[in-house]
Amino acid sequence: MISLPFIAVVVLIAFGLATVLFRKNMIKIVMGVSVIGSGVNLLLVSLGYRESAIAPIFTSAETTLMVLPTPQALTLTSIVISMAVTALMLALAVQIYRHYGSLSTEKRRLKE
Amino acid sequence: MNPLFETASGFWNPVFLFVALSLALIIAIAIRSRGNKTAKKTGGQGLAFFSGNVEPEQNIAAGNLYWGFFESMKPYYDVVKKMHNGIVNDYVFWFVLLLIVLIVTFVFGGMAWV
Amino acid sequence: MSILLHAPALLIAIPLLAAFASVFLNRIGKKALSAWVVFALLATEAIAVLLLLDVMSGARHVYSLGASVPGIVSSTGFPVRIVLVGDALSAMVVFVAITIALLAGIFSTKFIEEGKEKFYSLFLLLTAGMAGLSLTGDFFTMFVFLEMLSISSAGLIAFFREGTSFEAAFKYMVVSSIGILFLLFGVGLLYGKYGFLNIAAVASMAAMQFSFIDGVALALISAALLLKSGAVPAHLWKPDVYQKAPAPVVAVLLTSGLVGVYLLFRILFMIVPGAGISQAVGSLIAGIGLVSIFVGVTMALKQESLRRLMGYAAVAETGYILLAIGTALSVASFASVFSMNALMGGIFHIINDAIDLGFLFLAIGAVSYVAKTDNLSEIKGLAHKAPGLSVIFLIGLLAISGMPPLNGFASKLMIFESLYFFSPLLSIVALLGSMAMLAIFVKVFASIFLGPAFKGTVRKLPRRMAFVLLCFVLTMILIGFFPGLVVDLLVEPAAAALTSSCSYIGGIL
Repeated sequence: MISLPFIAVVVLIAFGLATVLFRKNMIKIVMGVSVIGSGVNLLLVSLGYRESAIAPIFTSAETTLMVLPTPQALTLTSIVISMAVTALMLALAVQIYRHYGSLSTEKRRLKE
Repeated sequence: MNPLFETASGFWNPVFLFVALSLALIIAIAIRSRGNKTAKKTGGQGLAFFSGNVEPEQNIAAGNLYWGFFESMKPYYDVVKKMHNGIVNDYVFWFVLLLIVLIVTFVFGGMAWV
Repeated sequence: MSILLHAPALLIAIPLLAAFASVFLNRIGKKALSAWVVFALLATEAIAVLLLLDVMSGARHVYSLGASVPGIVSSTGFPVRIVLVGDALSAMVVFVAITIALLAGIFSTKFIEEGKEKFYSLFLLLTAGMAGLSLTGDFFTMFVFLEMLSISSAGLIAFFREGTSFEAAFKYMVVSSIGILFLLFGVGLLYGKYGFLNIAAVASMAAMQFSFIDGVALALISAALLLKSGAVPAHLWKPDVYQKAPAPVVAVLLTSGLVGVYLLFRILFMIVPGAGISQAVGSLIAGIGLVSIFVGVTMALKQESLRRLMGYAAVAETGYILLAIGTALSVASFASVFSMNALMGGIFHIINDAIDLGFLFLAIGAVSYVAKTDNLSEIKGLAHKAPGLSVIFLIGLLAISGMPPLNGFASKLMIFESLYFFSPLLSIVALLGSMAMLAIFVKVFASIFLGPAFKGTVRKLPRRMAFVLLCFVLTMILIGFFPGLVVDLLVEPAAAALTSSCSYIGGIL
């Protein structure tokens, strides 16, 4: 029952999470976050997939099985949002580099 | 507009407290007004008495206010300080830990209590 | 009453429109921009009041976006549209959120001196996100509004463009976007199982066939919402952010955390089935609340920086809400007077927490405006120069630490009383936390206002800021003297709306 896309989802999320947990470079953390995002998007798309179904366009469609349209709409929204998030985080990382000359998360000023 | 507030096992009326506070204020003002009007504000009578010894240097700040508490809670604070280390990787780690605890509770919680 | 009919949509649409329009209005002039922002927020507030007055009797507004008749969700029993729901609880939350945003917006017309158009467009986006989050009846819209909230607040946190504020914004963004991605994962799992995104539709089916997948999905969603509300151990971003964000922004961010708490309990009360699992989950959340109180209070005692201290105090205050409502959730039957009382105490504390902590952050903003410095550790003995400010600050401090006859007391009384019924130990820890809160604020007051007179020059507090602060103080005193009125009018219908999940589901489908 568990098919290849779901294994890929788990692998992507695990890689992304491992990057965020163990890499100290801010750019790599941003990469990790967007890899997790891709994993979640893949989950959404593969949830709506039906084998040997057609694209969900109703104009002159035959009455065959269609792929679910909602997850694709969700995925598009979430891709747009994750682009905004990635851009914002990279911009913040650039500003931090300009102020402190370092991208390491261990050089932090706010603690305890 | 009734200020009476009924809770599950009793009630609470802010007006009683207000009256009590006003009474206390009036008594305090009454006692204060009986004081000596000619008392000097300066001259050191408000300072602590050190039995004639040299007065120690004043270096007690607001941060030292609860020194005893911190001293007795030192083992606890050592642990918590390590938790709040300001590294973003660890923030995510604590979040994942919370997530795991929640998953365990949601999945196995029903069984343990039945 | 077509305004009332479209109220849930307008509550989101007006701040959203105003946010993008404010960039253009800046070309006309600074005054026009401020007037526009205050006008937009006032209009939103008026609609929130209308909605609240309408649903107070227990009615429910359901609004499906894009339908020709917005009141009807589905003609076929299959909800496909995005649904906004305004019932007694969500209307109360949206009212509190918009009120705090309005007051903080008026406050910041004087507080923010440069880059007003950027500030206001982000600020109004944040407001729209909060309104949407409190009204949403749909899992995916919840995700969208959460992301909207975190993107706009990250921009606002970094608004002063210092190195440390960029650091705080980066940390916030990393943590919250990971949390929200996990939430989306959970939503995907629920969609995969049921084929619905509507919360009510999922709840109606999950009650029957709760399984492993539902458990994991709910855990993912609750973890993200606990992160948003800043509960231990996912609270670590909170002091960083509260230390560096501009004061009016912190007041609104704090309210958005409370909206997260609301959403968590709405979902948990609706979906978690069966006595066994709700007992386990409720106990866990009450435990998280207790740990939040303890860690928040003990860390706050140790802080040198004042605003960081307030951040930890905010963690502890959120803990009280989680403790009260978690306890109510764990006692599955609401027949008991005490569990209903705990629930009402928690909901009441949401209102009081927003008012008290919001006030304190604005007051700290006023202090730094008056003394012309952002570094609060430089300020000492301000009471000699600004006696009025010190008096209202003291009232706020007493209110947040739950001193009678101010507003914090009534909700804490309800919480402690009902907790004592369930477990005396819980109430003792909660009470000790409240006392420690007073100890913390003695330190705060002493370090800012007492001591030898302030050396530097002092600016006069603008009339607008003083007006906002006085509004808050007046509300605190009024709620303090008439807590029964607030409980009867706002809290009791809200608690009824939270516990009657069957009528919620039936009203939407």
